[in-house]
Amino acid sequence: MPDDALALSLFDVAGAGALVLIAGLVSLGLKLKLEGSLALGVLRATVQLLAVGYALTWIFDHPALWLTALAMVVMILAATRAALARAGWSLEGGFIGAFGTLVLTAGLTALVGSAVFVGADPWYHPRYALPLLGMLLGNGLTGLSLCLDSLLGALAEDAELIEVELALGASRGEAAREPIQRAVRRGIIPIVNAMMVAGIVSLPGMMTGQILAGAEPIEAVKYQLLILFLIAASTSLACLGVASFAVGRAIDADACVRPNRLRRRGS
Amino acid sequence: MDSGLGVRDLSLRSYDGNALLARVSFEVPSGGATRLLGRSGLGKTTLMRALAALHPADGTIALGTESPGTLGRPRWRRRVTLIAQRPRVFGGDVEANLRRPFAYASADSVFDLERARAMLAALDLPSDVMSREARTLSVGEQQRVCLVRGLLHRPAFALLDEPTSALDPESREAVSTLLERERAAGVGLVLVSHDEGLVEAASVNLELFRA
Repeated sequence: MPDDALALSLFDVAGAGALVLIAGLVSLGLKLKLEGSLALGVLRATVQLLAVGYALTWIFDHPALWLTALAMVVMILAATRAALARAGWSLEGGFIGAFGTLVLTAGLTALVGSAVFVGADPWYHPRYALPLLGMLLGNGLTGLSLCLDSLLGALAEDAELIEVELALGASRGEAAREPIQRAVRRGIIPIVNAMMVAGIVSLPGMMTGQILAGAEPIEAVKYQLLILFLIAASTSLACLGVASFAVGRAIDADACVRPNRLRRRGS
Repeated sequence: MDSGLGVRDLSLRSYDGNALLARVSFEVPSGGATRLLGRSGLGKTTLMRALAALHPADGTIALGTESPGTLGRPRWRRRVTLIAQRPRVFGGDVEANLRRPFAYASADSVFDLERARAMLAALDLPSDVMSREARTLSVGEQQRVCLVRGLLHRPAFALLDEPTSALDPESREAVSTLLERERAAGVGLVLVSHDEGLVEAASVNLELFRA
């Protein structure tokens, strides 16, 4: 931590947590019945983040390629599960496809970002690779879910129309071009919007965190730009990759529509 | 181009694994017409989709020495074109709908506006239909637009699944006349239809039975 950073004591953090008590009292007073949820939220955030903090401390103290890779796989597995759960449709084989896509896009982007742009030594150092991956996954998740939701919905609900295109001689790519375009556009819009308003409407969280931790604002800005660009690249590639995979499943190698591979979630 | 559509030992299953038809064999000569008969639920529509290589099947389907595998599915479907029972049009006007198949990489001919106009007129569609939004047309009008869209590129065989199901008697007559004309020009027809008026167009009736 830089010298001019003001270290927080556990009492400081507990004090901020106590402020949530006020929200809880308001909830009680207005009979909102939210006090239980608030308490659980405070408890879960504390336990989860402390666990991650201790785990990261240990991992950072023992930099090893296998350990970085293992942590990345666990993070990507969790992100895959979350992205698929938010889409309204499920696709047979979708988990493997989305996981593989995220490994190749977010995983590689985080490693390239850490090794090439940040100049981590060794190149796989978890102190850089893991936070970068966390940012890529956390910020790309909404886009990926929107993309999947749009595409799977179109592939299921417009299956007849897609088959009409195939019957008239369209290739798989031609038949699914419009749904793919719509879905990828939907997936990329959140990060485009985030870049548009960065610094005007909001100060991005990572940058704010760095400034609070004592970094020079311009250094924090450079990191934030790097992160934003990596998120944009990784999310766009992940949306394209997952869309290609989904179309390849919903329209098989013989260019036959396979609606039986798609299921509405909850049915 | 004069090869007939040959079907040999074709067996079909639905995607959930139910056997539909087993070892079906028949041949439709170029410019010929065959009407598929059989109880509903037997798999006639699935057979039509299999002929267009839109549903997996065991056995062989061939146009002379060509098959979906040798030609590639998109080019096979340009030659053996399915016109599905439920009319489904794309967004945009009717002309955009009719032009669309000519933009695919598999297209081996160019859009013929005069032929399109003549076919629409032959099916009693109003003269301004070309510029109308396809999705605002009635189901009967959409069905006729879909028929024109499927025939415009001159397939070797047209697979027609209940092509007059949404039409009134006059329009059915117009469809029948158009199909006879296309057939005379060399287009082979495979029909699934309960329309008695279209029966005349079919020179061969093929009765199918459950596997």
